[in-house]
Amino acid sequence: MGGPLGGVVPLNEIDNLNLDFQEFSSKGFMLGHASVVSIPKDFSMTEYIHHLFEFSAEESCGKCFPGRLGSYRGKEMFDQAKKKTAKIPLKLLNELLVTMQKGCLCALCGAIPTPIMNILKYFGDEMKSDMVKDN
Amino acid sequence: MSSEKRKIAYIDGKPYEIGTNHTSILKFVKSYVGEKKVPTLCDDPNLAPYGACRVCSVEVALEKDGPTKVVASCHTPVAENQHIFTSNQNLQDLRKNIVELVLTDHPMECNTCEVNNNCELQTVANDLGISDHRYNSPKQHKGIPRDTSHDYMRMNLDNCINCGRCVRACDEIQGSFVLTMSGRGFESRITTDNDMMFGDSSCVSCGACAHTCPTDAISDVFQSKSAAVDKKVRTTCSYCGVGCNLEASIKDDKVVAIDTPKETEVNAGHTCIKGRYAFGFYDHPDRLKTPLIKRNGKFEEATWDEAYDFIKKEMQRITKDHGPDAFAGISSARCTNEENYVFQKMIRAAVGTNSVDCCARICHSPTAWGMQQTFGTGAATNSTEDIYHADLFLVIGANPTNAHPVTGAKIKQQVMKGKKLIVLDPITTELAKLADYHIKLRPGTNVAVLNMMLHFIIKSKLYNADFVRDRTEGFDNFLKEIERQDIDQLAKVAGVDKQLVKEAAIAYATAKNSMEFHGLGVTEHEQGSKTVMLIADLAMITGNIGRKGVGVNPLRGQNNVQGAADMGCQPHQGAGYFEVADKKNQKFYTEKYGVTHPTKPGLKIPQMFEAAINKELKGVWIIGEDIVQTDPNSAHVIEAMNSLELLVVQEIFMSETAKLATVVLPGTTFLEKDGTFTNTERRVQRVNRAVPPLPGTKPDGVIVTEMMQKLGFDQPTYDANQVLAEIADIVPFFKGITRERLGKMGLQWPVKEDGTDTQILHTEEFKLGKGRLKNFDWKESSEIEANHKDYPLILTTSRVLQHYNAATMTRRTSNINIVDEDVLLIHPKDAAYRDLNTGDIGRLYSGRGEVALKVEVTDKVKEGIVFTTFHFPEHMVNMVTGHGKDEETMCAEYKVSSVQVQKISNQFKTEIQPKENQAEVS
Ligand code: SF4
Ligand code: SF4
Ligand code: SF4
Ligand code: FES
Repeated sequence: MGGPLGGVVPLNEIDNLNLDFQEFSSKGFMLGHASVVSIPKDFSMTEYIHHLFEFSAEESCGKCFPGRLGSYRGKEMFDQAKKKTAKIPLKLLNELLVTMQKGCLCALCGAIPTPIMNILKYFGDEMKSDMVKDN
Repeated sequence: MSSEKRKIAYIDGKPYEIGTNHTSILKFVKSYVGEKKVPTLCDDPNLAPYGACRVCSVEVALEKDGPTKVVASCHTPVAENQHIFTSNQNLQDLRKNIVELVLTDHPMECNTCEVNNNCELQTVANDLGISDHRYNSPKQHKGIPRDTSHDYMRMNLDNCINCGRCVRACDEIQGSFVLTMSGRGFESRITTDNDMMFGDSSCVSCGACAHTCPTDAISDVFQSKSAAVDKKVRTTCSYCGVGCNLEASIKDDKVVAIDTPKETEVNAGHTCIKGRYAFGFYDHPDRLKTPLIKRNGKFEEATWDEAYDFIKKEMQRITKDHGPDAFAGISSARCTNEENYVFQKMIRAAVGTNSVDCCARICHSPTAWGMQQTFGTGAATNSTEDIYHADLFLVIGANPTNAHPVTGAKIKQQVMKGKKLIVLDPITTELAKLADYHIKLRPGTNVAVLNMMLHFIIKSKLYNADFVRDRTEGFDNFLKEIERQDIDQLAKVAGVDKQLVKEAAIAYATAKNSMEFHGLGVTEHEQGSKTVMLIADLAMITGNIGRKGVGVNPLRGQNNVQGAADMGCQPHQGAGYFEVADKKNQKFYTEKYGVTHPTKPGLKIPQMFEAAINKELKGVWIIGEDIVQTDPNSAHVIEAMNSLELLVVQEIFMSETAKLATVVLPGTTFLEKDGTFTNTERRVQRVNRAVPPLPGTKPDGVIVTEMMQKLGFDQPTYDANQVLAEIADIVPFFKGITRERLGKMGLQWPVKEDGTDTQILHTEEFKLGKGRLKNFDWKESSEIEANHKDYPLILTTSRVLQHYNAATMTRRTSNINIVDEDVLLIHPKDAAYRDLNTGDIGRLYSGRGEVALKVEVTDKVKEGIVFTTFHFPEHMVNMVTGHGKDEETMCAEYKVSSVQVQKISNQFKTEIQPKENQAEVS
C-alpha cells in the first residue's frame, strides 16, 4: 500500500485495517499515498526490497550519513543476494534498518525501512534461503 | 533579574539551567557534561548547525517518563522541561552503526595518514569502540587523484566523509563560495568552482576549509593538521592589525605549519592567507645573519661588539658635535610593544632627543590626532566583536577583505545576512560590490562627501538631539557651518550623485546601530585629520558612540601600529600619550627614566627627510621600516638617506633602505621573540617565542637594550616581561596588565589596576568630557591644484590580499606564485583614449618619477582615476607618488597623486626589462 514509502501488507491483514493513517501506523504499516500495488506470489521479495533500497539510494539527497550510505549499502546487500554472490546478513540488515529509521534526517530514507521491515516480518520465510542469521 | 523564571531541562535525569548561549541541545549538554558525552562529526561551533552526520543523536522526552524521540542534538533547540538522554544503549548502537557506515567508504590507512592521532573520525570511532565494518565488499570512493594544483591547499577526497564543513566554512566564515557539494546521494562529492582544479579556482587560501575538515581530505602543503610535531605555540599574527591568534607547530626547532587555535576571541577560528600560510619568510635564506658595517661603499661582516662600538663612536661624535637633535629614530610597528618602548626610551633618554617616530606617521596618525581632538582618545572606540551587533556599516576608504581579511570577512558575512552597508571609495572593492550605497567619489573629496552627509542629516532633522545636548559641545556653530555648505558644488567636485549620498546619510542616521570603519583612504590625504574629525561628528550627532555595535573604528594597518604609538614612538608624545612639551610630563618622564627628558618636540618622519637633506640631521636609526620602498616620492627619501653620516638599520632582510645603511643589524621575526602586540581594537595580546632566533640574529629589543648599555645607560638586560612591568608603571592605560593576566585572549586597554579591561570607550563620557563638534570646508588637494593640468589622472594606491606592504615578508613565501607584480588599473574610457588594452605595458609617470606597469582595463576604478599596489621593488611605485601631506600630522598623501599614463608596448610584444634595483639609483 502507498508506494515505496508505504507498507507491505499481507492479504490476511487487509480485512483488519481501516483506510486511515493512524490505524496503518499503529499496526506497523504506513498508508503513504494510499495507492494499491499488488505483488504477485511469484515475484521475489528479495527483488522487491532491492527495488526499495534502489529507490532510496537513487533519490537520497546525500546530506545525512545514514541515508546516503545506508540506502546504498542496503542496495548492495540485495544486489549481491540477487546475483547470489553473497547471502543477506540478517542481523546487520536489521541494525541498518533501525539506524536509518531513527537516524535519518528526513522521511525518505527514514521511511524506507518500514516496508522492508513489513516484508521481513510477514514474508521472511520465503527469503530464508537468501539469508544468514549471524554475521 | 530574579523575576525572570529560570528555565530547566534535564540531562540524563539531572536538572540544569538553560542559558542564553544554549542555542541547541548539543551546546546545552556540552556545557554541562563535557565535550565527549555526545560525539559529533559534521558540527563545528564556528558554523551554523547542519545535522548531517546524525552521530550527535540523543533521545528526548517532553515530560518525565514520557515517550522519547531520537533527534540530532546539534540542530534541535533545547526547551524547558525536556528530558534529554545522551548515552543509553540504543543511542550508542545508533552512533556505532552510523560510524560503521562511514567506515565502509573510508580507506582506513590511518598509519600513513597526515592526520593520524588528530582526526575527528578516528577519535569518534575509537571512543565508540569500532575500528572496522561488517559490510561485504562495499563500493568505495577510492583512488580519486589528489589535487595538488594549489600553492597552499591540498585535497585528498578519498578521505572525505561528506560532512560539508568545508563548504560551510568557505561560505559562512570566509564568504568566498569556492566549494560545493556536487551531485547527490552516494555520488555526492566536493568540487571547487564547478569542478575546476583547486589551484585554478577562486580560492583565496584562507585555510578555513582545511581547518574545519575533520579528516585529511582538505589540508595544506604544510600538513598543518599533523600531530607529529614536538609542540604547538600560541602567538599573535604579525601582519595586519586584526591581530589573529595563531598556533605554530614546531618540529626540531623549526616552524613547520601555522593554524589558528580553536579558542580565539579575535578571529573566531579564522585567519587569512598571510597569517596561516605566509610564514616561510622566517627562515628564508635571505635572512640577514650577521651585523654589517659599510666601509668604502661595501658591506663588511662584523661582530656584534664591533658593530655596537662603531655605532657608539659615530653616535657620540654626532651628538657631541651637533647636539642630540642631530640624531633621530624610526621605530617599527611590526615590533612588539616592549621593543617600541625601549627604542623610544633609548632615543629620548640615552640619546636625548624627542625625534622618534614610527610608520603610524604615514598611516593612521590623522586618526589618532583627529580622534584625540574630538573624543580625547586616538583609538578604535569599539571592538571587532561588535560587528555582530551593528545594523549598518559605514566603510570609508578601506578594503578590509584584502587588507584586514578576517574582519573584512566578518563584515561581508553580516552584509550578506542583510545588514546595510555604505561604502565611500573610488574603487569598486569587494565590499563595494555588495554595498547598498556605494559612493564612488573622487580621491581627495572625503571632506566634501562627509559634509554632504552631515548636511542631509541635519536638514532632515535626523540628528540625536539628546546625545548632542548631553554629550557634545559646539553644536550651534556646527549647525550654522553645515547649513551653509553648497551641496551641489560639493557633489560636483566629488563626482557623486546627490540623491545617493542623501539616502546613505539617512540610512546611517536612522539605523539602530551604525558602525563606522575606515582605513588609509581616509587618512592618507591632505585633509586626512579633518576627515577623521568629520567622521567623529557623524557618529556624535547621530549618537552612534559609546555602546555596542557602533563607533568610529580605524582599521589599523600594521599588527602593532596602535602599540607603537601607545609606547611613545611619536615625536610630540611619549609613552602613554603625554605631551613632551609639557613641563609636568617632562618631570614625570625624568623621574621614571632617571635622566633629564628632552623638552623640545622632535621631528616627524617627513621632517627628518628634510632635515637630513639640509644637513641638520646627521644620524638615523631605523627598525624594520623600508622607508625607501614605502614612503612616497622614493627619490627624495633616497636623497635624504644618502645625506646622512650614520644610518643604522635593524632588519631581517636586505631591504631597499638597508642597502643605504652604514650599519645593518640582523633582527628577528615575531616567531623568534616574546612580547605583546596591540591590535586594532586596543587588545594587547601575547607574542610567544615559537623558535629560537636564527643563529647570528638577535630579537630587536635585545639589540636596542644592548646598545643602551653600550652607551652607558642603566637599562637592565632585556626581558619582555620586565619591560612590560616597566610599561605598566608608566602608561596609565596599561596599569593592570601583566603577562599572566593577558592569558590566551589578551586584554583591551584601558586596563584598570585590578585587571578589568574595556571593550567600548566613551560609554558615559568622553575623555575630553564633552565631545567636540568641529567643522571643516572641503579644499582641493594642492597636489591636484599644482599638477593636474600636466598630469590629469589621479593615482591612488593600496594593497592586494596576498601581499603585505613592501612585501618584504610575503614575497619570500609561496604567495609570490599567486601574485607576482603590481598592476595598474585604468578605466575603459581613459584606456581607450590612450590605446591601452589589458596586458599592455604602460608608463606611469609624474613630475617625480616613472614606473612601467602592466595594465588592466576595468571599471572597478572611476573615470580619471588609476590604481595600483606598491608591493614590488622591481616597480617602486612610490617613485611616482607625491609630496602632499596631511595638514595636521604630515601623514603622506598616498591616495592622491597627479599622474599620466602612456602606452609603452602592447600585450603581444616583448616584456619590458624592469630597471635593476631602482632604489640604488640616487
Ligand atoms: S581556503 Fe578558504 S577560500 Fe579557499 S576553498 Fe578553503 S575556505 Fe574557501
Ligand atoms: S572535504 Fe573534509 S570538510 Fe569537506 S566534506 Fe569532506 S570531510 Fe567534510
Ligand atoms: S587577518 Fe591580519 S592578523 Fe589575521 S591572519 Fe590575516 S594578516 Fe594576520
Ligand atoms: S553533529 Fe549533529 S548531525 Fe552531525
